[in-house]
Amino acid sequence: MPAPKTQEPILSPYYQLNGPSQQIKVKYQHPILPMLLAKGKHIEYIKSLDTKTEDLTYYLTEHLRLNGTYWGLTALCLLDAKDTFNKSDIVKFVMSCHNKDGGFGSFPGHDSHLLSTLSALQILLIYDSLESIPCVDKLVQFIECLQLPNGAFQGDRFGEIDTRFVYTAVQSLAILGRLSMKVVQGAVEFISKCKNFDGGYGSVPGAESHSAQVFTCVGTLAILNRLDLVDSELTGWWLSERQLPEGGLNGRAGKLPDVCYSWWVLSSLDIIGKLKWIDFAKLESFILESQDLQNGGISDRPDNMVDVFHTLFGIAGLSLMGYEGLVAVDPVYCLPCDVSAKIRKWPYTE
Amino acid sequence: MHGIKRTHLSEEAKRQRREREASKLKQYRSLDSQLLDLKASNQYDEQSFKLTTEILTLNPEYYTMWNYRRDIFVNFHKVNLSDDQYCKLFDAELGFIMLRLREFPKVYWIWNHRLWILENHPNANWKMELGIVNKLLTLDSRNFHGWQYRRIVIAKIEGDAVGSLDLEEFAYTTEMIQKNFSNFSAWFHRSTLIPRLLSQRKDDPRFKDMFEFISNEVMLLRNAMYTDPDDQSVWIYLRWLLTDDTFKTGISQDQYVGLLKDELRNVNELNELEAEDNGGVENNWCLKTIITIQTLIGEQTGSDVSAEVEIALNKLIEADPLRKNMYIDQLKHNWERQVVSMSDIFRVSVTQQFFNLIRLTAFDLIDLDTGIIDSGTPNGNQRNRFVQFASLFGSSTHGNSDTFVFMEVSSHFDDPNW
Ligand SMILES: [Zn+2]
Repeated sequence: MPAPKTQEPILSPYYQLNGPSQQIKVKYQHPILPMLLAKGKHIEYIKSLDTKTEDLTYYLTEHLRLNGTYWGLTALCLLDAKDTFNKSDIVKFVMSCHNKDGGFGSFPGHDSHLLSTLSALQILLIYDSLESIPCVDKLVQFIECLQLPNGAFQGDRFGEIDTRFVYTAVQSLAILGRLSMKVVQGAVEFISKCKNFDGGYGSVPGAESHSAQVFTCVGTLAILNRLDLVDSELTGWWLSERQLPEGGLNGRAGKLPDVCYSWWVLSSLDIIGKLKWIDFAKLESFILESQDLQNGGISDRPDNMVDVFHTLFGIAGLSLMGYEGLVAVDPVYCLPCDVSAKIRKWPYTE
Repeated sequence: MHGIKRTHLSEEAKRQRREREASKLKQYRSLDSQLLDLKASNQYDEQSFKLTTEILTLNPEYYTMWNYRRDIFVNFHKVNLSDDQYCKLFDAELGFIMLRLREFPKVYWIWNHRLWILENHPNANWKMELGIVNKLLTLDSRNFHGWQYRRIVIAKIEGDAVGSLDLEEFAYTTEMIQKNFSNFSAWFHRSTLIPRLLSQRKDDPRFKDMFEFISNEVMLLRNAMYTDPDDQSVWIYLRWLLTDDTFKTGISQDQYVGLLKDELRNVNELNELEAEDNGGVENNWCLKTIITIQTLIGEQTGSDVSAEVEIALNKLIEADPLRKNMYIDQLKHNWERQVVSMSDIFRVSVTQQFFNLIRLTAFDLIDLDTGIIDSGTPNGNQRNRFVQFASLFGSSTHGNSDTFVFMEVSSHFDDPNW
């Protein structure tokens, strides 16, 4: 932790606990003092996102608005501040992204895509509002039609193939309680082909291992009750090698650490029962050092610009490590555990 | 958002930026609403096409507009243009995409659009595309999209009846690796080509003899690992070379074991050199690789390598604390795998001066006074002593009725308290 440049004394958490009777002016922050999660600041930050309507960026990111809403809402849930957002406003917004083809776009008027469809369903599930969807059959059909003969899913009708879309399709159908033998068999078959010799998984068969793809593949297999297909010793080893000396995790060999991998790597390790195979204390301080203590939010690494994506995945990573005061997150669904508990688990038994 | 430095603007600076952006914002919003209206009314013409160019220049991540643009190609241009004109339009589109890619090399939607254009191009030149991928990978040799796109382009060229390009791709990976040993993307790509080359290109002297091939490959790796022994790409690739079934089953067992022993010697040597250079500190990747090779030798020859594996694991617990818990789990597996009887475990554990793990079931009890192992159902007293023993050393007992797992530090055996 670099010493802050200001002359302002920084009060350690111990100082805050012990109160003014032990007032000592601390000129610099000692590296071993733990930084704390600035919960209140992060809640304020997430709340502020929808008020920046005078910024150009607000409009340039409309294609991610529904995803962003899911990231923000889930972060708030994990911070135990779900009520920060107005439920009926959010549900109304989600339904305004619903298209005639049955899927959801990321913003009213934007095309349907599996990525935004999953975000919509996750939000509706959090709010117990799945019944807002007028025709579930049509939505199921929209998703199922994107499955290809080899079991993979394309993100939309234009044919991009990626294990990310298998995960989004499978979780979407799981939320709807509408998984089917055909979808499951194809998905499992395709995911199995994306497994690499190093224990990681790629975006398609023959593609290099990547932490985010490991999450989508292992997550899909977890939803489909097929974790027997994962070589947990080898995959666990590859994932644990993602931790760098500074504590953060990376996405591939030889790349820089990034807070979002706190989620992709850690959730995968948790799913295969190897959560403890990395150093918690070091990762925790890497995430906490990436906070913006002035305006809230978490960035990809210390001293970078924050965004709601890294804010969620930083907080979710801390939650997996059992950080005090956070709501437990489900590593498979990236939803609060009490929300994912509502999902009907495969295989269905009447 | 990745890799952008954090700045805290003052209210005044924010106001100024908003002022500067105000006209751009207004222009963007009106362009956007105009396009969404046109799109909603299925307007496919030159005007709507032009507007998509404008908005995608401002915002290359606007996937809906890439979609709209493709719909205009199909529903308007394809219908109204001659084949020749249509071809030219697609060529121009490739140029437009290239400009966007140079600025935003990591935007999925742009790569995706490029692929769609080529797949729908009446006369796609995939060979030229390969030249472009080469250039992009020179700019960023690890670009994930670039490598994936490369594999697609190669498959297309091969599909055009040219036949397999595995040899050319193999040469390409050699070139990339020689430029930079740490390029795992290149090593990985290489690993996907080799099994095919070995089975299909026996006409090529380099791939005729599998043992010779592996030996050459190992020499290439040796170079790399001596250059930078901390680079994980090289070690991960070596691990593949030593464990993949292609090689395990493709050469005789004698050759395979010889190769393993040779590599073990080499890695040990490198490790010693590293320790000399670093004041006695051994190299983590050497230690990890020693474990892998020892385990393979054990599998092949049936010899007991548990002691060697344990020594390396104990060193790693100290030297690579980030992954300490993984090594502890592996230590436990090492015991489970290698030690047959519980009395062995006990005998070994009291003599080892290292961090050991003992796994006992309710049917295997140690009499703590004599050290004798007793098989049977524990009586209350034995059970209590056992729990007491484990807690004495600060480790937890997982006391479900038939399994206790606990950790102990053997130096504590001298502790008079037990
Ligand atoms: Zn990130």
